[in-house]
Amino acid sequence: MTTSSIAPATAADIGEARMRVTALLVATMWLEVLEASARTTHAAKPWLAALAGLAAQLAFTAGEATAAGSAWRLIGRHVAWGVLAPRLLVASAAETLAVSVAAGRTHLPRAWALALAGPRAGEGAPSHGLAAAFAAVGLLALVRLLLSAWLQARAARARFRSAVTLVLALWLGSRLAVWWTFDLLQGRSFQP
Amino acid sequence: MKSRVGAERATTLGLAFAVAALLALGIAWWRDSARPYRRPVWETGKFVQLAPATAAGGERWLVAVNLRCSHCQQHLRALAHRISPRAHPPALGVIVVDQPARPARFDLGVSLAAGVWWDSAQVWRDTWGRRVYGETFRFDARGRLITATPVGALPDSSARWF
Repeated sequence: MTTSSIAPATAADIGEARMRVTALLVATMWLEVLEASARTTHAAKPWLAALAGLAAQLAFTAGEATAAGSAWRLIGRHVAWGVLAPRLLVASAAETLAVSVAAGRTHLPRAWALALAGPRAGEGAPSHGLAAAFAAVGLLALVRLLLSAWLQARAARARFRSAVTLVLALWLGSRLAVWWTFDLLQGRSFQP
Repeated sequence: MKSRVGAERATTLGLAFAVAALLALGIAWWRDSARPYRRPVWETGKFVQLAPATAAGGERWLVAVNLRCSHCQQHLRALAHRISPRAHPPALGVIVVDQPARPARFDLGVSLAAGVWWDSAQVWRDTWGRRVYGETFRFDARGRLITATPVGALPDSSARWF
């Protein structure tokens, strides 16, 4: 009779593996949505634009996970970056649908598109910082925030209310940064 | 244990830095938006003439152009093209903005009846509080502002062409 040196996988290990596989699937959803959006804007190389967009999305998720991990640590909970990052990417799945709606790929009535994806689904670029910062506020953004809070609360073994407060505080901080930066840089052309 | 204390210290420092950066950005934004700006008025004495105005009287449409900004120059040419068929087109001109030194040469590619003016004193940015390159200022014959419209807009119509 032989004994195996490999420890049996626990339910937590399997759950974590599932989360990472789901995150990988969401990454492919992002790639598809960004490629299709690049096509609708007649970008010269849609796949290149999509890859750059995916890289930006992954970098944003990495930064978001760092900030969320720091905030959790501040309130006495330790959640590893590697646990947070896949959950945040999974929560961003709602945003892939919002991007499709905003790009006009879903053929929804205008009112529905605005309700789901926010003012960015309307016509024209935002003309001031406040509009730019909150252009993506719609039902799908709300779904993303709540899903993110739920997943983080489970990972941190914290109350959902604490997670919602933390997620909203970080989201609001990022919106303020966009608002103020847009207003201060407005009109400064970066085009050659 | 030591590494955990170090990580917590780094986390606190990182968060403190992020909050300080956000606060600094907020103060810069608040100071900028609290400044009183004046409604634009066309006074030739406040600008340096680079190319003479050939039109006398009538409406002037002056486009804020930065010489390194291709899209606002594209807007200027599109605007000139749109008004050229009119029987009595407004006098089109340019205010060269965010240009620290007097430009030695420039080629805007259109004829400008309202002239080309260099904003050497930063009137456009500091007195009028404007930021958007390519914005078109529509002044009446007495220099009073009628409208200010963004790139892609025809100042006396709701039409947009890009």
